[in-house]
Amino acid sequence: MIRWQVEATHPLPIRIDLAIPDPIPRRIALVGPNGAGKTTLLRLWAGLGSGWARWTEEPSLAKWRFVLVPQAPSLWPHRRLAHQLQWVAGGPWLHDPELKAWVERLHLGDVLARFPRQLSGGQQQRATLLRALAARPTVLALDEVLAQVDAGEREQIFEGLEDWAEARPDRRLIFTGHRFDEVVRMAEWAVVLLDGRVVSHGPPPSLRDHPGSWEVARLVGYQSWIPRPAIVLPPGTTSVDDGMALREEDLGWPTAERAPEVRGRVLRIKPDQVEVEVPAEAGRRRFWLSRSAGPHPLQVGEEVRLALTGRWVSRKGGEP
Amino acid sequence: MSFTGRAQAPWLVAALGVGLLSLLPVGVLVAERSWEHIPLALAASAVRVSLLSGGIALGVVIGLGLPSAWYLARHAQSPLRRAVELALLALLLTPPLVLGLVLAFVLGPTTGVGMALSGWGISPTNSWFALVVAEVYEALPYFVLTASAAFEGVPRVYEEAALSLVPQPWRVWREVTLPLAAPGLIAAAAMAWARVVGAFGAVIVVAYHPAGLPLAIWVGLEEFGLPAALPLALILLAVGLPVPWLLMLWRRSHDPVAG
Repeated sequence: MIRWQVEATHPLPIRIDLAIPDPIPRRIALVGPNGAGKTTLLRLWAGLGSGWARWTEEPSLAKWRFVLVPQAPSLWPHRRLAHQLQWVAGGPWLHDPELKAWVERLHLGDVLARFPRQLSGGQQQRATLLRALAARPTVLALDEVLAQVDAGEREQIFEGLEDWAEARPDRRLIFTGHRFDEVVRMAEWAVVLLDGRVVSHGPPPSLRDHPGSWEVARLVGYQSWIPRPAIVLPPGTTSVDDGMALREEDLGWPTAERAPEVRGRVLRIKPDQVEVEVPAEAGRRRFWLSRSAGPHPLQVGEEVRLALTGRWVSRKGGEP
Repeated sequence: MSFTGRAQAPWLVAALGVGLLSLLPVGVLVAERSWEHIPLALAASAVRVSLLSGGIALGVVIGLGLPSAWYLARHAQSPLRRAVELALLALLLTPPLVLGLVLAFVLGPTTGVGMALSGWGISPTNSWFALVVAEVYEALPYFVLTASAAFEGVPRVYEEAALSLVPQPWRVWREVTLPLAAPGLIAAAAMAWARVVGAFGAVIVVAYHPAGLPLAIWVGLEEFGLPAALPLALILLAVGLPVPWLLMLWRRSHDPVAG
């Protein structure tokens, strides 16, 4: 892992210490709600905006050419599209078969001679992408660039971008999004941002399976969390009854974050249930924890730690 | 019904009023048939002086003003910008006559600056040098403040996208910033030219010679009265008008955004 540190105060206070695997994953997604700092982060990465950004170690892709495609319309209004492409490419560009293919893919062949004001919103976004590709970047950063393109076409364009990233070993794609389902499909690595800080990062499937916090869970698409009380067994304990007890080292969030830690006493043990008594506001409270069959180290009268574990559910019931 | 088609009357009345007010001076000059009495010798020399000194002064104003206007526009937060802006506003508010007095005070033959200039063979007052300096002073704040507003009107996103795609600031400035700011810059240049050609208050104090058109009007009035002054004023219009007018026409036909 290498680390990338960023600090800025304008336009959003942002303080980020981002760990990224080295070599850097080919397709990175920045996910978060509006105002989370995705744009600020990309701008700092591109060397724009006020603030500082540095790598703790140089990434193995030392010489990269970072091109940011901003969210706001950025085609220059005073130049025809073809002129802009030529200027960016630094000369004739239609000889480049890759760019030529992109003109086809983005359906821009007929409008190259037009001024930006003569293009529709979706055409402008596609043209912006084409212009960025004409700059021959090694790192292409897209800030909500295809929001106005139809969903089906967006899919196609992203497939094209994946191919683009795969075509050369030094190419990387960074994009922002607030829809996690798209991110899961398209990114190799996701960074979840909230209020100017990184709340989670990792491969998207693992973020989906273990959101780790409400904020991330909500972004992923979970609606609720079904809690189950469980007894926490001391570290190193091997015999665990699933559904009733869990090992201390298995405790991730939300169990750990759900502390206050509750201590209780085992009252009775039955084959499929254990009765526990815990101190409550008014006196004591007893309840039964179900457990599956199997040996366990509990004894009547033993003092145990209790915690809540649970399961994320989406509106459909399971994974989003 | 279109927005511009709705309730046009008040706007139309205002525009007509402005048009009539603006036409008044020209109307009087034409009605007086003043072109029949042009003092040719005086006029020829004054036109030459005005065009030459004005051209140099406009060059200086743009040469100094364009980079500083861009700096001011792009460093909104810097204290230097606030200071320069304040100084420009003060210059704008200083009556031209006072400017002339200040220049005379600084450039006088006995001052350090005056003596240094004399040492280099430049006559500090009543010279082409003094004339150009006075004209520059009268035009500079107008140009810089207007041009700076023009640069500020260029959305940053265009420049930033350009810098990301073509990381060469000078090329980006020339190919993106400048053309996008051009309409405002042209207005600024037109205004500066009008100020330069019409400069009188500061000029009469520090540069009585060589006499450009405004001064020739004054001299004509003093020596021969109104019938000599008005024709020269007509010439001033004839000399001054084409540059800003053509600039405005060009701007209309080349507006990068409205097209």
